[in-house]
Amino acid sequence: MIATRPLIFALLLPLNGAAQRPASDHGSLVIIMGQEPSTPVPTLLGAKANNDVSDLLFLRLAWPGRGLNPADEKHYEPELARSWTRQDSLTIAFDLDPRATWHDGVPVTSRDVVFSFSRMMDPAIDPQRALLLRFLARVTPEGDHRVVLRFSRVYSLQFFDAVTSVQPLPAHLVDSIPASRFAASEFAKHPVGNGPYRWVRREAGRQLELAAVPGFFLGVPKIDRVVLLVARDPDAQMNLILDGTADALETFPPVSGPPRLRANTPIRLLTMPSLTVSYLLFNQRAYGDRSRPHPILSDVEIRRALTMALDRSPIVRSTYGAYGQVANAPVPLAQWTNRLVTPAFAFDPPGARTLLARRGWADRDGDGIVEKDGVPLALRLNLPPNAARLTMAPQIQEQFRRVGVRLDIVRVDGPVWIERRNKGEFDLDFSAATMDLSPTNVVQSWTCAGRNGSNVGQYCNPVVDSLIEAATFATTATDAQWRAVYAALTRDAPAIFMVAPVTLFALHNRFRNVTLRPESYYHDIWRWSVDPSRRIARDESGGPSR
Amino acid sequence: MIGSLKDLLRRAWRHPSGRWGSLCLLALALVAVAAPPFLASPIEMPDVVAGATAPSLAHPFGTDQLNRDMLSRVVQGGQVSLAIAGLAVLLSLTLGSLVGLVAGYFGGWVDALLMRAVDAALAIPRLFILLLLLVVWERIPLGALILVLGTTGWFATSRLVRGEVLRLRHEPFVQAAEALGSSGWRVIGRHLLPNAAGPILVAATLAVGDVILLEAGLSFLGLGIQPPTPSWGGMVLDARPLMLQAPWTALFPGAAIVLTVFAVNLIGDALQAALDPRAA
Amino acid sequence: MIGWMLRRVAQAAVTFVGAILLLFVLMRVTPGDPLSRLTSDRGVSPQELAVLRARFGLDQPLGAQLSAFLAGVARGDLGVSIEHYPEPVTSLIATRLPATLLLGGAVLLLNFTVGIWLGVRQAARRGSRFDRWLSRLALAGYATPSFVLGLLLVALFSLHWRLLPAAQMTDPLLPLGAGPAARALDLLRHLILPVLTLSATSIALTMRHQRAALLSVFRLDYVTAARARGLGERRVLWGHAWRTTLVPMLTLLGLWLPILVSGSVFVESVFNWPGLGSLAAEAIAGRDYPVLLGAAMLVSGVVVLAGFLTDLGYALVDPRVRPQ
Repeated sequence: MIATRPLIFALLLPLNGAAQRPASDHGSLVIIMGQEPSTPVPTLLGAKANNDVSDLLFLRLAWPGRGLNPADEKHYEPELARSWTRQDSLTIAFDLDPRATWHDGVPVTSRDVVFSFSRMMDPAIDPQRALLLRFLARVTPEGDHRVVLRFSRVYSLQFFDAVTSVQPLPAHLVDSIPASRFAASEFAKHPVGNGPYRWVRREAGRQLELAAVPGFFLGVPKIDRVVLLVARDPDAQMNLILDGTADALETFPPVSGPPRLRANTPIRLLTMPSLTVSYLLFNQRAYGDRSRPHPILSDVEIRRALTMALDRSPIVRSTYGAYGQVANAPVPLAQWTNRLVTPAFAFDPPGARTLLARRGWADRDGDGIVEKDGVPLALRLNLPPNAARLTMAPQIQEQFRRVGVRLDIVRVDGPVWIERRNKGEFDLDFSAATMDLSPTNVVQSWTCAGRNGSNVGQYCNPVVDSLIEAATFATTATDAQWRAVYAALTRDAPAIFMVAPVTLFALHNRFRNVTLRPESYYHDIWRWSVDPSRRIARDESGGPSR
Repeated sequence: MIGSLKDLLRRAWRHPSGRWGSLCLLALALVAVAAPPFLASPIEMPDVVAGATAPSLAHPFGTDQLNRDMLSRVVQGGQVSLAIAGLAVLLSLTLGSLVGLVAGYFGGWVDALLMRAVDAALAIPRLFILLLLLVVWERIPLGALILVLGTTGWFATSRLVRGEVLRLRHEPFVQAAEALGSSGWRVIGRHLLPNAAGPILVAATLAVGDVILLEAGLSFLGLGIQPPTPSWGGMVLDARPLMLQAPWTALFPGAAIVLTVFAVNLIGDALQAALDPRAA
Repeated sequence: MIGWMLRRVAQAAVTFVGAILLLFVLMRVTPGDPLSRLTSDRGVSPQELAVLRARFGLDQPLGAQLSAFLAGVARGDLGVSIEHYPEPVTSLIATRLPATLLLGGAVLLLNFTVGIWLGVRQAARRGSRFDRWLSRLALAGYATPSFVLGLLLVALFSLHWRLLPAAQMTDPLLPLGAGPAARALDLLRHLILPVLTLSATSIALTMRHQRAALLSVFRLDYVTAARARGLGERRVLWGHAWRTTLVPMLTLLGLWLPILVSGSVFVESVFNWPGLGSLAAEAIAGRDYPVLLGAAMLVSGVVVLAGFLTDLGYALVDPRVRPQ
């Protein structure tokens, strides 16, 4: 035993020697994006790609903890604000981290925060966000590093709305630019942020390059260089990740994609709950005419019958494989209230037929389609160009046919789809909604107030409205309130909720400490590192370029 | 010199490739129309979660992503695709040849007007012209689709035919016919058309494959055939995400398109031979 | 000749302006909301929509929009993209143009060398096994959609054998300091597969037309006469017969020339090639009218120019063929 010890030491020595050489865990990351992040700057109307990138450049006061109830203020992660204290039910004070600086070296102060809040609360700049901040009465600085937010109303998501809707901008660079000219300004072309990454360059239509900020005050980023490649075509995206050009891909077909990725050993498959729900929206008003109720679909019994006619589980499995769940309400998997949803109707074709018959719809001429007063029950479904929805639609059509309902699928391209949605030119619309972490999102599309906005189906039930209001302004445990909202909503069947998908993510296996956020996929990149034994050539070429 | 149309067709039929090509097209059309009742349903999905299954005894062409029988889909898809390939191509060729012959033969302002109109038409993306149809129809009937594909597909053909005519009209046999007092239309029909048939027939062969795929592209815009009715082009496009894992989903409709193109090409060869007995 | 050219140029100018005006009107009549790309991700309030419509002048009557557009054109300003706001259309097109010129140029070159040569060989050996098989191959190649061919080539050359990159025009991480030789090599490697994919169909087309044109020439008397005079088959073929097919081949070239600026939608998107074809396709799909108009102006210009050059070419290769 004793004799072997020197041998062990001898074996260990060279290993120790190797370990002492600085094996770097730094590297580069190449991400494929389906849309071009052309102006990744807060306050500009931005698509998801812009927001994903602006979250790398600009911090918020704090960030919601993973998978938690966003009403839980204690579980937020500090960003620009080192700490916060609730002074009363209407007032929160934020203490800014004195180490935070803009990428030009100027410290982040309360002036920046107050300036940015006042901008975002102006409905002329971003009406949508101003609406989220409508209960925020006043934002005042106290010295250089303290900001006090005062609300006009008590509700559970004050903190969430305040910290997530505003990303402070550098007042010293931006306050001289009128809001109307901000988008075309030099700042928007070369944004100066305060986050873990700084802007390097953009090749329009092709790629965007960011570099780590070496002295980032929350920690040193290990991923030195982030390149965002723009590739719209799903085949091009998949090929770029399979041939090793890129490291990360965020969307791909859930049935054909995973087997191809699994066959490629350096790529691993990650999943996270998504913020999306897709559904067949019923039009409550007549086709293309909002002055009249829909002759068929304004009847809740018909909507229930159609819901019962669909066996959604095989539809979801054939389209999403293991990466989606049947949805029963407009609540995505990433919202904490998802577990409070229960289905209102089971799959029951005979029951559906009975309901239809009770309303006078029966197949009298034997053609397989039910009629009433000689008119066959035929509905038009507007279908946008989306691979998953294109796969689900013929199945829905076929299942409806079995209960005697004819579904006419009308495939349209994106602009026509949006136009017809907004004009109410549909019986059913194959919609998908992407929400944020807050369940109060249901306000937009499912309340009477939303009818001149995104509630294109014109669904309106004052009972549901008041339940949503009660849940929103409750200050104590809100589970029961949200449960009541979802129960009332599903009973009304304003839509057939189809699927709450899981977000699929392909990532090269050399990355460590990987965490992904449903609300902003790349938010944690600066905490990632590279397995030193698996570094590849482009990790070496990293380091801040230029 | 050619005689009547009947005479021409008889001569083409006598040519072996003409016979084979016509029989092949006829067989495809006959199967597409008559066979569906004897096959599995092209729209039912017996086990949708099973997805695309490889060819087997039960499904000789396999099944598609929704587990629908590919054989019956390919057979039924022929109805739409053959109708479009046949009629729309015939229409666009007639228009293209007519415009090209007239512009090339008469020249002058007729040529300038027609060819500048063709320039303008070529300059506007065809997709855009077709999108306009959504204003008129929410769901376009097949007849209208064929009409529209035919009337928007002849621009390039007319330029090719005009080029041929410009070259031919100075050939001795044309000049001779003119000197003998043949009318313009007679010269066009008797002398120019037969000799310009080469590019027309090539254009026809190639247009068949194009238009079948174009219909499929249009159906994504709500302009073509809508589900659950299958079409060959639509099946090829739908197979795209699965092309590598389930190649049969693209292979069989693709082969049907290629077969049609071959058949049309054979007929074209025979027609060309029939038009010009010397080259037979 | 000078008079003809002047008249022809005037016609071309009128055609160009007419096409653009027509397109402008067509675009406003075409259904589809140009703001859809900006608003499809999330719900948008009516106020926000009003702000956006005003920003792009979409709330103005057609006449006002047209005069604003024409005034911009006079200043050399084609407006601002809706989807890529605030990117000016001119700079958007300028950044995409080189990629399309490169791809289109390479394809044209291959097409009108290999395609013509194969077509001539086929016609010369008409009815031989070589002719029959090449014809079949060409037809099968032409009937195969380019995305199928592109995906197959990528699956083999990039993913299976790992010889060539699967997409992109350049390596995204090519060091900024890379020398011109390294850059050229990188570009060449990325160019091969898209050029092959696009050439396969276009060569088939050129080949078919060249073969047909030559066959119809063989029937004419002077070829027979040349043969009778005892000229070598090679001289007859290239010296006499082929020269006569220059007119149809010029027509074909004129029809293909616009690919230099219009690109190919399928191939550009499958290979993520940053060209004008995919830009224009996205602009149609998103009704990004300013970008679409800008791209269409460029394409119209080349289409009209190609028509002019074709007519000029006719006059040069065959003095008898001078359009009046």
